[in-house]
Amino acid sequence: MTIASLLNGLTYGALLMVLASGLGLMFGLRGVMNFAHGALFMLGAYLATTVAEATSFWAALLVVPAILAVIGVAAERLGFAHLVGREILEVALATFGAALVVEHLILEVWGRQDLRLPAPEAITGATSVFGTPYPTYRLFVLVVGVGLTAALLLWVRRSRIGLYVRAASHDRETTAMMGVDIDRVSMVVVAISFALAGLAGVLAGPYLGVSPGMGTAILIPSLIVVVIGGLGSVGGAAAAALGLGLLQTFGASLPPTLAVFLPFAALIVVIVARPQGLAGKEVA
Amino acid sequence: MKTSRLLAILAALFLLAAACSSTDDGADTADDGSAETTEAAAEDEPTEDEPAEDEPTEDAEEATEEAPEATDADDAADAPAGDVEPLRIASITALTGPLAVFGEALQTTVEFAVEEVNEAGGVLGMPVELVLLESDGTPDAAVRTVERAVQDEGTPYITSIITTPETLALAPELEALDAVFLSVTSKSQEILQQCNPRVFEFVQTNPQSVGALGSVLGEVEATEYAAIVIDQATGVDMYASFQESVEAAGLSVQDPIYVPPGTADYAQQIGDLQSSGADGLYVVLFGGDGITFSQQAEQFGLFDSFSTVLSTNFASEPLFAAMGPVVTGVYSNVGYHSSLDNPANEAFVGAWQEAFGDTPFYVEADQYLALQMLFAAVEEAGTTDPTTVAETLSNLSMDSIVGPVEFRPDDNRLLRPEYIGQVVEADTESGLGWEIVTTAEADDAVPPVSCV
Repeated sequence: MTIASLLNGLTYGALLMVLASGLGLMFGLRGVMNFAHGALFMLGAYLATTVAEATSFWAALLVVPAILAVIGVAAERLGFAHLVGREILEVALATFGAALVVEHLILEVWGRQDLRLPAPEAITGATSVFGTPYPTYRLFVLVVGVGLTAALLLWVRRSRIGLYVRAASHDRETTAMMGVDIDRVSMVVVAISFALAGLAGVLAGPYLGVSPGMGTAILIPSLIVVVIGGLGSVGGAAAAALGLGLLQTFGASLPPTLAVFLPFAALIVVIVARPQGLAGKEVA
Repeated sequence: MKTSRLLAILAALFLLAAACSSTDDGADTADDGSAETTEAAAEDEPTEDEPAEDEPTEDAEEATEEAPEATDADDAADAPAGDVEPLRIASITALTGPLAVFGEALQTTVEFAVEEVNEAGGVLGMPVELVLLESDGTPDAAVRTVERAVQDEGTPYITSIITTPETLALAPELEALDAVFLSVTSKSQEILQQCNPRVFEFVQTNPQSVGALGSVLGEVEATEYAAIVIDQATGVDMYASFQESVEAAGLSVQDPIYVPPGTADYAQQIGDLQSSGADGLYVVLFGGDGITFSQQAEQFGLFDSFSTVLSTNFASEPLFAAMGPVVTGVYSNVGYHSSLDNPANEAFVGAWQEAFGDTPFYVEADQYLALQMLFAAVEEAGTTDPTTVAETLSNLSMDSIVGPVEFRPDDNRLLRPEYIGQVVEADTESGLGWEIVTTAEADDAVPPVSCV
């Protein structure tokens, strides 16, 4: 594997890491497998095209996650809070329906054509990595992805609210009995999860493009990452994301008909060999 | 509890994957300038091109249904001529996924053409009636929707269906349904090889398009080509035709890099192309897949690694804005160009600009051309009976928006030229446009009749 191949895999893995961390965090605390996560990712990318056109890419990088976080708070208050105690598949189907609504709304607002979100001038071009020129923007995605996930892990492991998140993900009722405001913790977690989806969408714009199918396309690998990592585990999802990114890169050299099955093959292997996933149920 | 949760998630995951892959099937075969799902696609992939990507597969679904506006009908002749039925057309197409951008263009054009002809008095003195239906780009949905259009809506003239597999699936049903299909985007030679008297092919097929591209091989610098090709039957066909042209020109082409529709990251393939040692590049990626590839090619400076970039159905006007200036200099087949110098085209482009404020691109033009020829055939036949009209259309020749054209009755192929253009900077919204560099006349580029 060349340096460029390694970087390709790590960069794609870093993007998946940002997405899957939010997805895993939400599953860990809320028990919600959010099938709308891909649609939120897509919303982030489309919003970024508008914000970047009006202001700059850098502004989009801040504003879009903030908008998604607000949407997350609303979704928690108006939706998820009322679904506590429901069967997991029921909630998953509800989020699946929400995904369809969000995607169609996006198409109504922005149209069905692919859009262009250029990278800012300062991070275009190539940077030499051990003598191999590699697109600077991709390196930026890699650094941001790894940095964010590390920050999220630290937050979950070291902060007080992170402690509550870990506790609630193990036993929601007992944690509440200990005086923790579970509703507030849930709101924070959902807001962060939505914000991460939006941020991943902004990062993906100049990297993978902005297209009507981008939400569904990224959702499947993200879900695979979450299951491989261990349902609800941020750390497991991060490790699985990097692994899947590298696997996809390796798969690119195989015939396409074989390559598309590689993530599913990895999923099957993990389920058979380690059904609890790489990290089990540990949130961090 | 943990196991049941896992099983529930897995069940949902695989249902989602199944839904997506089923949509991809349609997008995979988008084969016009893709025309590919879109969703594109693909999406689409579809794309569309998206994929792959894309919308969950759903049954064909009626988008809208409309009779002509009352004002159009009033403008048309006052009463039907004798017992003749009005001309009724169904436009069936994909409005989600990677093909959506083309589906929208097709239905917009059908509405435009029908409104225009009705304002001019209709066909056979009666307003043309239009039914708009939505499909999802899959063959089974196409067949079901065509059956519904003919049997429930009473519209024996079908158009706007995008992909080759859809066309191949519905073709055997047409005679029993007493229906006629106007193919305006499917470019596979396989359609013509059926020699189905109910199917009319209005666009240049793959061998003609790629063959025309061969005419510039001697004019450009490259002597050895690398190739990146969509992993679909259409892509394989196009590469085979290109290989033939390249070898005939005494040049060489490497084995292609095949990529599945809906590929999110082309970085690995781009790296392989850059290290191929070739000085020319041949690209066969459609719709959303083409956009994604071009945007990532820009990141890596891929096109700068080659002296010549040739393509088939890769770049087109509606994709220019998303592709960006990186595609400047790329050569491609251009089935139609708004600058074509003939009275019919000038009138069409003028009316289009008045209605939409921009110039039509090839998908819109091809759809318009098909309807103009249908209207002419019905007028000449003096009836809307599908059998009679099909026979008339088979032998029709007219001065069209692409110049003088005629059908070849043996396989119902429209004999028309193909153009090769190079993307140049232009005074358009996207900043890009075509410069036509060569024209391959139908006599030189159309393969002979080959009924199987």
